[in-house]
Amino acid sequence: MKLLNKYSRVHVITACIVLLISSVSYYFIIQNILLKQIDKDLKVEEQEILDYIHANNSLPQASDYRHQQIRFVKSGENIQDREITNTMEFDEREKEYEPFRRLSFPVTANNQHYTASVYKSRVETEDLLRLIMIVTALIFIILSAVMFIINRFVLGKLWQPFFNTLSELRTFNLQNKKRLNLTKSTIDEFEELNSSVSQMTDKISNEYETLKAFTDNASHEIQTPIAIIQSKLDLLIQDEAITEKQSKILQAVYDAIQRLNRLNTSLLLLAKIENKQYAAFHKINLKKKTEEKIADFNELWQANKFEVSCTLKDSIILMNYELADILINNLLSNATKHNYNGGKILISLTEYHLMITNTSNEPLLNEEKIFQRFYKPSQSKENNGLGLSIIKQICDASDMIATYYFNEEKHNFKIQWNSNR
Amino acid sequence: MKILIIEDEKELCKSIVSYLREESYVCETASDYHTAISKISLYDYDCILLDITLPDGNGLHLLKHLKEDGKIDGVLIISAKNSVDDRVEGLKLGADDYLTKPFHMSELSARIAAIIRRKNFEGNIIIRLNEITIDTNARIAFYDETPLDLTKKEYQLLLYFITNKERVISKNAIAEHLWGDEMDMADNYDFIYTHIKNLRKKLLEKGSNDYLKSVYGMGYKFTGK
Repeated sequence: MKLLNKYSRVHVITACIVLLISSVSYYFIIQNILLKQIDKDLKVEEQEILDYIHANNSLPQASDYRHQQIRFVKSGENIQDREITNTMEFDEREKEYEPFRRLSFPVTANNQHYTASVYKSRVETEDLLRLIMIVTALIFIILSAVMFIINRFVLGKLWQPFFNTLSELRTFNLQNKKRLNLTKSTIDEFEELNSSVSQMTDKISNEYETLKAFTDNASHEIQTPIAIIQSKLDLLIQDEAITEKQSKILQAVYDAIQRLNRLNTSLLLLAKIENKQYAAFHKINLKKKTEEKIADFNELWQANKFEVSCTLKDSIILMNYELADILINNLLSNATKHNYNGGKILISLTEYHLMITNTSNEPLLNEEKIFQRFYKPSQSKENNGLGLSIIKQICDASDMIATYYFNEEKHNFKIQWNSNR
Repeated sequence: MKILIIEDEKELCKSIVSYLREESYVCETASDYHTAISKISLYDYDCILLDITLPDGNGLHLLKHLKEDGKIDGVLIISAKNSVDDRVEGLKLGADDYLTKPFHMSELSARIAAIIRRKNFEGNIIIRLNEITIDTNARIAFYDETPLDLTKKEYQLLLYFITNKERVISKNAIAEHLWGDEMDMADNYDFIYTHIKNLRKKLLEKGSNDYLKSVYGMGYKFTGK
């Protein structure tokens, strides 16, 4: 919920600052207004006093009421300026100091200079001010609480469509061919998001299907000319009038067509694996499968006088059965092809790995490059450099790791996987 | 035996017809959906070769049509390699067997012969060529009533040759027949030579004529001449 936290934080800080500034300004403005109100009253009193003096040439009576006092003090030589100040005066009744506002001005009566002071109590205004501030503070607290609740619950709910879309995207799988199930929302932005996401995934799905169809079509397209060529060769060799020279050429053509065919098949296989068209996983009894493959190869190995030793333990894994077939086939095929008469092949299978070791005339292979496409250590026409690439691709698609190392004059290919499967 | 070849690639079709006619099959062809439909409805064939990669998905439509008409017996489908879905669909609909492109003519011939055997005689057929007899059900070959002690591969080889008698078969075709193209060992021609040598020896031992002739190092021919 990070966005929510960030938003809340910004929100709260801004709200605090604004509220702080506004409440401080509020305080001073209200105080100002209230004081101006008092000052107005003071000026009225001042005017009354001046009027009285003007009319009677004597001072009016001083007064000492709870909320208002009027005093006259002889001022002698110093004529004080007119001023308005805040003062604290002792209240007899309350026996404590209370806040007053005082307007003092010079008056002359009976040829005597006085300083007249009118005092108005600020107690009520102070009380009023305090009340206003308390109410304001309460409002602030309630507002904050409400904001907090809204942030936590309502916003969380508002964002739900977004999180729904996110989780739908996470489980989106091209192979499933299922459309995204996006909940409708009344919020414009989320509707826009959903519509864009839907469009994009539909487009991706369509392109994937097109690509998949293309892969299948390409296979068809290329196989047919190859099939035609091969069929014509099959017919051509029936001709009894073929010379020895011609037959050699024909054999070369046959072989070339075979290479082309194998190359095409391998490339198509690689494309399909990359395209995740072998996504289905099955439970494979590796031991059984390896034994079957070994039986297939046995005849060939005997003819080549290979020394074959196998250590096979029980091993069950989850992988695509077609890919498993191709993987073991390619591994054994490599061990056979890159070997010499009377050489050795060692096969070891456990719950965690499958390892094929073979002797060879070829020296140490480049560990980094060997799994790349078309890398061939020697310009041998017998392999097209794709066998190991296919092995690597299959491993990538099946959650396995393929490694190679050279040890004691032998090549070792190891396939490892996590056995919790 | 009458064969219908439903294939839209003219050259491929021509090759197939040419090869099969030499084997004394009567061949008819159709290169599109409608011609195929009309021929199927007019005649009964011993074997139908159907390329399910016909354009517009017509291959599978034809297959379904054949199934509905009850003529699904003896259908050999030709599919493109790696198009597992089509192949699986075809076999599910009841096709007898399948071949992926590209295939050797001799392989096609062997498959057709097998289908016809299964269809007409429920697989219980004895193939005879002069003194050689093959019991395809028991998978035993005899020379003059004496059983030949052949390995599995040698038996397959003999059957393959006899089905394609008098035809030159390339080494590639033999290798693919015996080990399929998965093995990728087809380049190992010495291996093939060994098998053929052994087969020839076993036949000659029983007093047979030397039927197995090698053709200029390109292939072999099983011939009575």
